[in-house]
Amino acid sequence: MIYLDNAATTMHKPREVVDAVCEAMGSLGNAGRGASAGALDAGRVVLRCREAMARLLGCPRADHVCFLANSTAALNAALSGLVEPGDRVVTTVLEHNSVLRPLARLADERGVEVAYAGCDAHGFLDMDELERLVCPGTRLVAVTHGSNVTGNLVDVARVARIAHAAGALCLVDASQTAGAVPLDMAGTGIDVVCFTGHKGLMGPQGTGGMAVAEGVDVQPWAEGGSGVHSFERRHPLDWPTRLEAGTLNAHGLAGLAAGIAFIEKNGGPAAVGAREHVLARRLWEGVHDVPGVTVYGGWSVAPERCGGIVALNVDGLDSAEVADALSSGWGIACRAGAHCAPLMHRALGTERQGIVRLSCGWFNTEDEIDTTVAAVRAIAEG
Amino acid sequence: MGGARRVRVPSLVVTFPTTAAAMSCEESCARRGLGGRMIPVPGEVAAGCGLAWKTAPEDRAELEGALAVDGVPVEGWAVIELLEFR
Repeated sequence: MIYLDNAATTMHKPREVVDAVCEAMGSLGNAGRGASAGALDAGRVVLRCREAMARLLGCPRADHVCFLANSTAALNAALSGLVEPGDRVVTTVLEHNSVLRPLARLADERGVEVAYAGCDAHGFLDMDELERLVCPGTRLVAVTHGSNVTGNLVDVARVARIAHAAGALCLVDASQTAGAVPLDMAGTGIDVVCFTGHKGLMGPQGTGGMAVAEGVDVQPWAEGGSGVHSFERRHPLDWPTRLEAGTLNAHGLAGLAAGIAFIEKNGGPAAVGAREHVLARRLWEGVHDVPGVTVYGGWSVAPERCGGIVALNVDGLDSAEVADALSSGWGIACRAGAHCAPLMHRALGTERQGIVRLSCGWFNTEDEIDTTVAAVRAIAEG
Repeated sequence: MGGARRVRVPSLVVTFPTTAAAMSCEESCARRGLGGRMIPVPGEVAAGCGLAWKTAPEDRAELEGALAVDGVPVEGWAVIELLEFR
């Protein structure tokens, strides 16, 4: 199989990640639940992962990295924990449903006003429109760091400046970029970063969370077991416990820590992202001028602002048909359809056809890319 | 696939309300020895994402009976022309 669906999950994990999970499942107790050797070992694993994640995101306080099940859980918790009834939130058409749907719920249930900044013809965020929409009284600006459809990157440092100038907070969805694009919370002033462990961070599914800047008050999303203050009626508000009710996924976090270590060993997110960029650029160069192929995203105008994705369609063919042909004919795994990003597809005019998303990862090779180029060409010429 | 031409072939496409139901269909068909395979939902059938079961149109009665017996919920049935390379 040629695996080009790394934007969905990095199916091929470093051996160290697999080994770390297996070892953890045979040795760890419950982190923060007692002082047995296994419980303490689990606590140490979780702490090591917290520290690694803080280092990777430029979050000054490791205890402000809170682990949840995935990005969707983190985004729900962050949005719900930051936004009050009647608040105004500005977001973008680039967002995944993991941002759009929680905001729709907040609009329905808390009367939250939500405004959406658009994009240009290449799918790049319209920063001028975003700036116009972020007016005084805006509580939060929620943006993705990279579109999960086109791979186009967003200048989140600039978004943070725009948000702060209006007195708003800045939340970044780093689901598609964590581990592959550098991010520096302290340097940019970003208030909250939500991440998932199983994509660019190369960790197991079921891991993720959020990093929160000091002084930003995210209210608990759930209450329950905390391992401390058991006689208090409500869940503790101390970090990171406030957002970590219940048993942590220490087995998964052992793997996530190993994934981060693998990334750091190979030069960090910039080096990993550069490798994916080289592969995606090779793919784009091979397919962009094939008759009948339409490529979306910013590769033709600003490749330096593109991630490891090439999004395309073949004239006259449904994206699902192309994905099925790639899979059944060449063993190429990719993703067709709407990618849970309805506003992005509406903006690109691909609601009906969908898009064939080919997303590169660390373990892809030039030969795999060349085979994929040949396959796309054959389908288009067929 | 070298030299193969793309053609459109009438196919029965079954859609499901959930991914769980789609996977149950696959399991049910495998257990009963029924033909077919999972594909991404064609846009002609439903916009968006998800899985569909593709098989020959003449297999509908047998498949419909099997899924009913096994309690697999189905969203819709359609016969459309799907891409194949021959």
